[in-house]
Amino acid sequence: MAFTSRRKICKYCENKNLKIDYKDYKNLKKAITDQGKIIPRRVTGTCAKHQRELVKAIKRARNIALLPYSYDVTQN
Amino acid sequence: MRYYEMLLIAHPNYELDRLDSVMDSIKKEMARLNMNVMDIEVWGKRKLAYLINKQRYGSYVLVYFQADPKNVGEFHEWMEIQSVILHQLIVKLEENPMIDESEASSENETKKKPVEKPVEKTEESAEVSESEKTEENTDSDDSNVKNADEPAAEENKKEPAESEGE
Repeated sequence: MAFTSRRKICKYCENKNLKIDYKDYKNLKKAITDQGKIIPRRVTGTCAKHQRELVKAIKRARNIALLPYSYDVTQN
Repeated sequence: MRYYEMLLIAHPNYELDRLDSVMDSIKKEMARLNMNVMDIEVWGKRKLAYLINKQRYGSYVLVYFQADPKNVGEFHEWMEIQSVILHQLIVKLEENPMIDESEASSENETKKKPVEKPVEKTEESAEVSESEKTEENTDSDDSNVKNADEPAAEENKKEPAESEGE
């Protein structure tokens, strides 16, 4: 049984209206795991350029307490 | 002169009128350092993602300003000393932030702003007594909203994974 993977597309390249901003933490939440880790681009398919911007935005959002550095999964 | 934006978290006890007094002191300091305040957005009281100075909540304020790069460091140091401000983030902007929002000429913007600001202040001062009572309710609402968002985000994550499997 051959496994064929669908080609992943960068959603920020696909949709030019999507902008990466550290203040838009609701969209940035989609790029982090339930533990609060940044999802790697090999999983999401984001291109290198946009992943760099995304990482910068997430780190800024963490700095200003819009996003957590880590979610404590065990407490929930 | 460069464009900057600053997102600051004020102490949760400082809201509405008291926050205005804090902003006035910040504006004074900015005026002293020849900084030009372009716009101020008050986000209001929000739950912080983690505790800062043992505080669970904070009042967010977004300030757009124009400044000489030499003075920004000094301003940042002054902000660090203020006990009212829990945390701040100053980000350099490549373009004029006011152009994106309205493509109208800059003259129209300057005319509109002085008219809008006094109106906002009067509304806020009228709502002080009411909002103080409802603070606790709104806080609990916020937490509910956040919880409601999280499952939605998880669903979005799951969908692509399923399609990949097929």
